[in-house]
Formats: sequence, C-alpha cells, structure tokens
Amino acid sequence: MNSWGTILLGYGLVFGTIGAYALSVVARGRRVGKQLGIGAEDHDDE
Amino acid sequence: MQQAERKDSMTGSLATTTLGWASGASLIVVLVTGLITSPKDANQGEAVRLLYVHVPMIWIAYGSFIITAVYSGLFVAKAASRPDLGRHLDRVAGSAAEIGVVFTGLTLVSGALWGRITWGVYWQWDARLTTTVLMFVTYLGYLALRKLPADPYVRSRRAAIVALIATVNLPIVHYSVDWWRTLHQGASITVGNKPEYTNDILIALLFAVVAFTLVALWLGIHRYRVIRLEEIREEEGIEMAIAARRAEAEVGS
Repeated sequence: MNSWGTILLGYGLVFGTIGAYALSVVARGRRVGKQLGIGAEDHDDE
Repeated sequence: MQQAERKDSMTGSLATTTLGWASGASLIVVLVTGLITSPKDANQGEAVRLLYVHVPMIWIAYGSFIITAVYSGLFVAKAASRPDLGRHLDRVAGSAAEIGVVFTGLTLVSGALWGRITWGVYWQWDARLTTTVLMFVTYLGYLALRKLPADPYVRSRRAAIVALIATVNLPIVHYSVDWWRTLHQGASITVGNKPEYTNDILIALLFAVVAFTLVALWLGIHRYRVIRLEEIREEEGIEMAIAARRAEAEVGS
C-alpha cells in the first residue's frame, strides 16, 4: 500500500468512526426519548 | 417526572445544533487542509497529513480522561452529602470517559497507519504504544464497570475510584517518550523549544485540534443528556414496578 492509500484509510477510519458514534448517540437519545413519551418531533432540532 | 424536566433532558437544543453545524463545517475544513492544501513535510513527506488526525485524537483523549478524573474526585468528595450534584458529576465523568475511549481507539488506529508509513510496521511494543493500549483497556474496564447492575450510588462510587486509579497512567503515557527510549517520536510541540514543523503545518494542526475539540464537546453534551434520559427511564421503570406491586398487594389483601 502506498502512503496515500494509508493516509486516506486513516482519514476514512477517523471520520467514519466519529460520524458513526455521533449517529449512535443521537439515535439512542431519540429512542429513549420516545420510550419516555417525548415525541420524535421534539428532537428535530438535533 | 415533570414534562418540563423531561424536555430539559432532551438531547437537542439550539445551542447544540449550532455547535453541531460548526463542528461539521470545521471537519470539512480539516479534510481540505489535511488532504489538499497542507504542504509536505521535509522529513516525513505526505505522511505528515496523518498528524492532523492523530495528534488531536490523543489530546482530546487526555482532556476527556482528565475531566473524568476531576469529576470522579468531586463525586467521591461530594456525592454522599449532595446526591443530585453527585449524579451530575457522575454523568459528566461517564460521558467524558466514553469519548476518551473512542478517541484513544482512533489514536491507536491512526498511529498504527502512520507507523506503517514511517517505521515500516503497524505496531511495536514500545513504551508509548504499550502504555496507550493499557490506558485504552483500563477505561474500557471503567465503562464496563458502569454497566454492572448495582445500586446507582455504589456503582458510581466504584467507577469513580477506578477512574482515579486509572488517572495514574496518564502522565506515564505522555512522558513515556521522555522516560524511555522509544520508537515513537517526541512531543510535536513543546514549550520553549523550536517546533519541528513549519508554520503552515502547525496552523493546520492547531485548526484540526480546535475542530475535533468542537466535535468532542458536541458529543459530550449529547452523551450526557442521553445518560440523563436513561436515568429517568430507569427511575420511571422502578416507580411503575413499585406501583404494580402495590396494586397486586391491594388485590391480594
């Protein structure tokens, strides 16, 4: 693998992981909010 | 639980939405500066581009674990006399630790890739890398401890004590490159010494640190609020179970 391939892999893993983690946190908040009876419409400002 | 308090617990707000958009926009700038506009380094060539993702990861991990340590210490000192404050302190400690673990994991991955280019190998059991893995595993254990079923106060207190013990490793990780002969390079920026990178590279690095810090802040606020929502759910579940048990007892008597 040349250095550019490794660099792009590094950026992809870092940005991809942070994006996936952020989505999981928001989704968990929405799910628990829904269980508590706080409608999904209340979360649209996320 | 009052509706007003519930609404206050939601994970979104105008401030966090603004912070979220600012974080997203700044990450796009990091991509552009890191992959396109940043110059090559005289020694490392293109590989220096990994500096902009690797260094912010470990700095944020350090910051997160320091927050966990401070709030855990305050929890141990204050939670017994002030339960509400204790729960707040515990939430901050837990959410910061989770973010620290994510960023430490990314430090290890981005560092391994950088090592593959500059050292020719993904991994070496040198002091910096080994102590960083130890830090990662320790805080994974801390997060696992927070999930164990127990009385919330007891669980939080145990976690706080583990967090305080884990803090001992932080200076060891940071100063490992000075204390032992390691393959890992020394600190990229040190007070009083001439930086080993050009100004263009240092400015891009500084911007990347700010951008990822905004992201970590956004994540931390949301994670805190999710923990709070989960606590409310747990409390309501217990209250409903007690009410159901009382109703059963009344029918039986």
